[in-house]
Amino acid sequence: MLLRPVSYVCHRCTLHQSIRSAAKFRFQSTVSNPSSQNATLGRLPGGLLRRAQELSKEHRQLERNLSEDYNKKTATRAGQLAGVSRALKEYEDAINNLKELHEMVLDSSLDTDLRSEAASDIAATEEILHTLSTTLTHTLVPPHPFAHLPALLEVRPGTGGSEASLFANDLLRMYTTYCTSIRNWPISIVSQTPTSEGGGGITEAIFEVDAPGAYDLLRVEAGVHRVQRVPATEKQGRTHTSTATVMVLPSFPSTELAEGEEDPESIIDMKDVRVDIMRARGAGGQHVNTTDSAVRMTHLPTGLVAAIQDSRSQHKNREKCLQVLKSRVAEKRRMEREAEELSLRRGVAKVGAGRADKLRTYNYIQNRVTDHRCGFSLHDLPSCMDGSSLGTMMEEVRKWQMEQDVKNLDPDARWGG
Amino acid sequence: MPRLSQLLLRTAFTQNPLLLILLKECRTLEQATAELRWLREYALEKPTQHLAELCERRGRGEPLQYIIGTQPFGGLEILCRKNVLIPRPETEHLTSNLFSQLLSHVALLPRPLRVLDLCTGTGCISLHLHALLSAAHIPSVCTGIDIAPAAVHLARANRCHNIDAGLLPPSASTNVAFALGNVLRPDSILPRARVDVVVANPPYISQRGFEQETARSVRNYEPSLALLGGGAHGDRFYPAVARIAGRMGARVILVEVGGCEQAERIRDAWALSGKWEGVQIWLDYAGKGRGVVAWREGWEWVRDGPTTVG
Repeated sequence: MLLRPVSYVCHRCTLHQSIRSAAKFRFQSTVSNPSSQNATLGRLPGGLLRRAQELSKEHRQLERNLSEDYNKKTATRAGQLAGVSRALKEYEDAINNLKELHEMVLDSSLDTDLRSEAASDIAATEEILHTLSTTLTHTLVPPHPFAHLPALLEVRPGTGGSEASLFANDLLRMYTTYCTSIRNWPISIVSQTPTSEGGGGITEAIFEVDAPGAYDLLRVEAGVHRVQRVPATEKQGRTHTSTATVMVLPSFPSTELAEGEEDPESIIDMKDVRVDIMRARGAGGQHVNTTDSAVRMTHLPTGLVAAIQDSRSQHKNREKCLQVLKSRVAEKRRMEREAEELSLRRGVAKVGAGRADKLRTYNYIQNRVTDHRCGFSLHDLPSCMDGSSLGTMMEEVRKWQMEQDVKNLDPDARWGG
Repeated sequence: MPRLSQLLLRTAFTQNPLLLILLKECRTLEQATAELRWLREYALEKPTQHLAELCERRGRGEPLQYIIGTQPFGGLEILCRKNVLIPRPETEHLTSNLFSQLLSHVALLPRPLRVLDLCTGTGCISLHLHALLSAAHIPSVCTGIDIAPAAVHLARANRCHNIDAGLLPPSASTNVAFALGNVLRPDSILPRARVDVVVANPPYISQRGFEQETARSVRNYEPSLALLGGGAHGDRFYPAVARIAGRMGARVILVEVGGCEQAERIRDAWALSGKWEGVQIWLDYAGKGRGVVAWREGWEWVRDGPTTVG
């Protein structure tokens, strides 16, 4: 379309078009480089191998301690390290195997049949070694500190007016159906504000997915989602582009808690929280009977604010407000920790490609959903929107995430902290 | 009332014409949006009600609590009807704070704890306090007194309503009682037995305050019987409450008041009377004097309010 031969095109127009086409190329999905592992050819870099050996040693030590004195915390740590230990053992066995095979090939005292058999085994072992080293690298990626927690998912319209709020509602439905029908996770709506003009759009929705590990699976969904379609309200059939933002936060349960995690109560000290009840006009008491039940809480050390006005009951608003505030504080602390870890990793700063960028496009006209991080496209949009193939999408993103994590793996980084 | 800006009215109208009607009473867009949402939820539950009609009523100043018929109070849902005062969040705040003070010295409390609630209205204080005490496994017996038969009737209805909804333990049907009685004539109040705690949210607005300070919706729709305290400053009920508390041997007395000046008058009067070991003012979250608490010997730990003044 851009290269269509046009006579009498002025210089300014050509320039304009070339800028547009450049912009177009920039918006196309970026495909990650799948051959990143090829350089190592099945061998682990020395740093990572050393790291694996250290962790495995720690695991042996912990096992020994456990047999003498059982301790929940030690057991958790040992359980986390067991995978590394096992993968390392398999890897080392394969390496030794390979060395023997090489010796056999070079050993002239053996008969030729045996030597040729060993030579053909070498190729097979190399291949096994390749998968084993990948597995080992994956086990070296530290688990997310909040991976085992339930999640709190927030959907908000971005740019695009009422169409954006309609799309936000579509996304909300997609996630709730995915969680309830596909995953069978119990969910509960924390807050849902329909747009005041009606019509099915939302200005905000927060729901909790009360299943352990939900955060780990859903966190890849956080970011800007873009939609390209002809809105229901559009009369002239023009395609609109709008966005909606999805935020995924770990949800800290008020009572139970997975072992080895920090106490959720310690996440916020109530002394640090300023509670504002937004009704301070006039004489108060019997003089007025307003229904203003809004509650706002400010976490003073971080300056984070949560405000809830959903229910007529101040009591309920207070509970919800605290829950939301806790999650926001936890998210901030997690981001700080991640940023700290990231700065420790050697100069690699491309993880997540920034929050401001869109991460996925839902193109209704082309019946396509594309994730811009992993470059994966799903050519069946309805099945994604009803949640049934959202899992496939998320699986692809997870693979990409794992690749990124491996790329950023620093042999000197602290593990499992 | 200050005039609303044209811009605000225009914004509201483009969002939803009904907001314009609600703004007459709500005054801010956020509040109007929230009330429209609650009214819509109510209209969806009750198909006989038309949303536009409900908004009209609200716009004329009728309290939302009377239109919808309920008001949340702590964890309870309190039924509201015309002729009975709507429970206020300040009252909820005072009650919750009294409970947390009682809870901090749970070992010293007599069992069961006997509570007398004067001018009970919807019964909200008795029911809320009983719900909190029961949840903390502190046995209690609460008696609510009101002069208006409509109030006593509604308080009993509230007891049933909250037991049915599972918000109150079934034991409340025997441990919370409501009776007719005139606080200004102590002889008409039945329970001659000992009580430990007296709470009261009596009418406390003066005639002048009623005309100048109350909101339109309060003045036109809520019963003046539950608002006008009588006397020059609307203080007429407080000596009567203190007399009843003294006669029944109460250790703690907590009354709601309408601002710092009234609070100071009551505190000074009670401190002078010499019947109490100490008197303290409790502030509400807007920093206004909202409660006066007095105690007998051995109960001084009850003194701390949400925020107190010396």
